[in-house]
Amino acid sequence: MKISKNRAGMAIPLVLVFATALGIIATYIIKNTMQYNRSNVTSFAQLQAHFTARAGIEHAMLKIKFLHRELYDAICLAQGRNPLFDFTQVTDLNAPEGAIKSYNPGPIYLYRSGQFTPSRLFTPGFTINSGAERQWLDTFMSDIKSDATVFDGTTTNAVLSMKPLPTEIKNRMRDPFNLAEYGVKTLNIAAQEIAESAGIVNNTAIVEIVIESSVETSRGEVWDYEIRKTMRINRD
Amino acid sequence: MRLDKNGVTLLEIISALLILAFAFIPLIGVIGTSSSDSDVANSVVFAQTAVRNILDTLLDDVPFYAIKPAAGQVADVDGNNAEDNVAEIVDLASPVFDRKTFLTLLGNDASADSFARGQIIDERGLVYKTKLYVFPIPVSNTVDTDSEIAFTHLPRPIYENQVDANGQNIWYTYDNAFVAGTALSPYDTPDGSKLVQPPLKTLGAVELGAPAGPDGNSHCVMKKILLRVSWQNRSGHDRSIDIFTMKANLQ
Repeated sequence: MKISKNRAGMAIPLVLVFATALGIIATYIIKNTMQYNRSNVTSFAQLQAHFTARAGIEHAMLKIKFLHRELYDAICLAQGRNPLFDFTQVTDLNAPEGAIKSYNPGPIYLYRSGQFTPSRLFTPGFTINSGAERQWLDTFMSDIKSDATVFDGTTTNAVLSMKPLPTEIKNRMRDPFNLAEYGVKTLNIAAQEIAESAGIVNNTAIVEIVIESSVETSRGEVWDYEIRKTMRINRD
Repeated sequence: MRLDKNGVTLLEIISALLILAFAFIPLIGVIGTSSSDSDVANSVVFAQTAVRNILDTLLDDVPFYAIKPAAGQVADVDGNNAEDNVAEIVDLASPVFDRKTFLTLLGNDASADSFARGQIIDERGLVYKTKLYVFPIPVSNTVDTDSEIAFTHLPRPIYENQVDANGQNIWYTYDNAFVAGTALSPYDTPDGSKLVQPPLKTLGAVELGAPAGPDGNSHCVMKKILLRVSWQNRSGHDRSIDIFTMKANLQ
């Protein structure tokens, strides 16, 4: 028996296969590295967007600290409830009218009988005169943003603008972003606070404020971010 | 039995080795670049984590009055790059605040000074310089809307003083949860007597009762904050991350 294997020319094909494999590995490494670098740029934009939104939360909390009574009133007006009514006198949520007394007169609701049907202290789907109920709340939220706001011809809060940043800050940054901004996305009225121990309604509204921010880096990467914060708004 | 072993020649082996050598040249470059990029990425991750820790702590735990611009220029720890508006962190009695913990985050052990800059070192021994800048937003007795922060709101309508022809109040009810038939609701058109809608109010911090505050805070209620973390890669390239935010006086 004669076993003959012709191995002439085998080395070069083997090397070519090996070189191709190396090429695939190289491509994989390059792709991976590029992806890693891109994710670093993205996480920088994400970090800046996070702290832009946090600046927005600070701004909102500052305004609420100064004007909590005005916000409480605006919340009640948006819900069709009388902010002057002392809700701490309500002992039966199913019959709040029982809290009307000579020293705590009504009305509880800011609409006429039969116009809407309240459910406990709330009026689901309350809206009146083409959305007139939200004008106080919308005005309150409208200047909680980083851009200038114009009220009756007066421009306010241009000092907070981040597009662009003030020169003294921008000049200190090696790679300043093109623009950053924040604003209130929504303010959801969650509930009227009820003290659990005593079952007493407080003159405190619980709201969830949602601040959204957006950042565009110098490389054109854009990142949006959102922060939610729940707050108690006291009238007293 | 005879095996034919004439297939691999010296020429073939040399050619194969040459091809293999050429194939390895770019691969070595790629591996080198990848290793260097990975080094950069690790530094970026470390710096970003430091930035997040420092700024979150600053916003959550450092009292507003504990951070102020240092008087004059402050240099880096190595004595270079003296700049204005570098923050100084001060101890406070009320609320009680000890600056050391925060300064340690910045890489300043607070043994020498209270300036918000320092050096932190990662597990590879790479040194990162930190520097915190603060820019207080000015406040006047009467708000200057061009350069100061202002707070605008639409006051609630004054509806509770509605009276009839006899001067009797028609707003308040003692047996009805709803607005009385003859009274105007706050959503009706203001008429100047029964229902008054006050105009928009734009007020500044002083007008809203912001206290003067210690150390020349001058009623300031908002400070702009910039944090820079910079370092030099092993390859000698300078890199930095600069993040901007704002801190309000919520005390």
